[in-house]
Amino acid sequence: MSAQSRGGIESPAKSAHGSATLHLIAPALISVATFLVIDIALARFVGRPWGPAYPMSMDALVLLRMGPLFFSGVIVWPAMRARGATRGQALLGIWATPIAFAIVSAWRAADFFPPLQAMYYATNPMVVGALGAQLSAAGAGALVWGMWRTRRWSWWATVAIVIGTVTTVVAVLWDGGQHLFYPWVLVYARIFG
Amino acid sequence: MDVTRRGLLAAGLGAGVALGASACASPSTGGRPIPAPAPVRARAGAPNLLIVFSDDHRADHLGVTGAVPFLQTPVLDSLASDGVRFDNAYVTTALCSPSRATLLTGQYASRHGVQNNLSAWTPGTPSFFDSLAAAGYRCAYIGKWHMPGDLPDLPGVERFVTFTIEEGQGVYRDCPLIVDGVETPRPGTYVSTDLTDLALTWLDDGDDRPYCLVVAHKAVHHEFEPPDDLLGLYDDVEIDLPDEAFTYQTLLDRNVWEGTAGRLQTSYRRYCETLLGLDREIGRLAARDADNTVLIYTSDNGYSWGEHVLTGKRWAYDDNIKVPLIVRWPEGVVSPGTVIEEPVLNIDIAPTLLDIAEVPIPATMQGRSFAPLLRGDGVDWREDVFYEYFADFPYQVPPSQAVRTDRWLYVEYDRGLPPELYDTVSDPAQRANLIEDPAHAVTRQELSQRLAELRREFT
Repeated sequence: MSAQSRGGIESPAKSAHGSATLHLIAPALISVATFLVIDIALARFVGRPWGPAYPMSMDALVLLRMGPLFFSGVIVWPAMRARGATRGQALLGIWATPIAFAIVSAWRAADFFPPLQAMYYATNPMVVGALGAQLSAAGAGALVWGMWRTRRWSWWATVAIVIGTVTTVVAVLWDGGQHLFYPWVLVYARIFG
Repeated sequence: MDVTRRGLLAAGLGAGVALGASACASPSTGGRPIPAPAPVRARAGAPNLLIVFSDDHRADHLGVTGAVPFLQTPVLDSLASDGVRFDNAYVTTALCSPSRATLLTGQYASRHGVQNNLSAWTPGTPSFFDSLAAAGYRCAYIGKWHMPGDLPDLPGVERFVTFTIEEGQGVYRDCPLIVDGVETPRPGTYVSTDLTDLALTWLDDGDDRPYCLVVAHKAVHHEFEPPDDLLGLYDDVEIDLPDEAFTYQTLLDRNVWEGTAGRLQTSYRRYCETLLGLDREIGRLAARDADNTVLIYTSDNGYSWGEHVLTGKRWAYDDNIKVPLIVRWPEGVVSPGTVIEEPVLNIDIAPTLLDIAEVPIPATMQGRSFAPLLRGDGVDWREDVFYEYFADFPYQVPPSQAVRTDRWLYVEYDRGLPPELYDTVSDPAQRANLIEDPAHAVTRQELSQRLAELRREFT
């Protein structure tokens, strides 16, 4: 039988390629899916107190959501690299969840602002902070993974940790992120004002 | 063209720095003293007018209301017992900049144009300062201005002190000030105390004309930083959050931009401590010139502390639109300690000041003097109030218009969102939206018609 696809039946080679791709990006997909499930659950249950466990449950969901959004890179990076991903692919992998968050943010903002402004909303400081945090987490993951496998220190990972941490601090931690927030709003005003 | 990674990085950094630098450039012009156009002697016995304007102080957060058992505001309580307190004082837009412009102009945001925190004050916009200066008053504005763009040269304002740091929000400590157009570092200061010091210095400069002074505080806006000696005062009190609230709701996308990320209870404790610090500074001002001075205390808007899972303002709910309003006027208030139930608005303050000063009220002002209510005069008063809110990026709060009566709150939103209806008597927290309840269909229709009338009248 020919290896070409016939009559809607996928060829073994194509199927194997698809499986390999899925295998490669699975860590990033799991992070994105976890974030989306928690995010949807939050949107569904927030503001509907059902009993004494409501506040604790909501807090748990909010804090859990930070995991895939800010810190999953610590696992996603080494997992993708171990599965043969290039550095570029792994970088896209660790940023997949912040990018998903940016898209969700813009989608929701479109309920309140015109489309272009909603798209600008996707560049908000939380997204920037999440991108930085994921870079930092990936650096930490790479460092630990590299030390475990080769006993060698990675300066690239160290640089990623520093850049990622500084980005996160400036974007969301330093005085509640207002030092980026106000310029971000001013840029908005310059563009759309 | 040979594009290297280094070249791309440099270009990106350059663009970022250029954009950031242009965005961060603070307005540094304007804010200069403009004396009254011609020397005019004020009428004999004209009262001094002192307006103390706070930020984000919600109406029920006064010790005298008893709504928050541990909360202390002894000075404001004392002012309320010496004067009057309005139990139904509302703002026309629950947001910093529009509310400031409304205070000064007596107009809705639709009219004065400062519709959100990104809207600039239009030079030449008439304010009560113009009229008072023309009537022989010396005038000063000391404190938070917050409207973007160049600082204004307000006609008749002889002392203008404000801050532009953090896009006009200011900071609690070491807040650099713009004093009559000149940037002035203020190391070692706490902003509420510093503004009060400057106000007292201006009052004590020996000028015997009657004065109109606005002291606009940063407090109690976030970052909720109390004076050092009050920090932690409320650490051990029990905080009673609304049912729908939770500790880390501040991390929800709709709340995080308020800069309140962190434990809700901790922020709330700091808010209450900052309020006590503000109360103390108001006391320093109130202790001066008690006799022939009308002192008005109010705020730009309220604040949600967990209600509707919100941490902030802008919505038409009572937590956001109701503000404290206290007036001490020894010469005018007939029954000290009175709580006035009639609904008043921040557009009423400007005409009230002019009325008390016996200065003609310009037709441009949309508010109405509540001086007759202070005097205890029987007067026909409005039965409902109109509220409006405009989009304010990046806050995900839909533009809205609302009508608030003594019983109902009816809100209509732009962008096709369904309206809301609350019975504020049976449901003071406004949690049960009755808009789909057939039993209230007539009420809904009546309020919708009334809102349309108010919209036509005020916008």
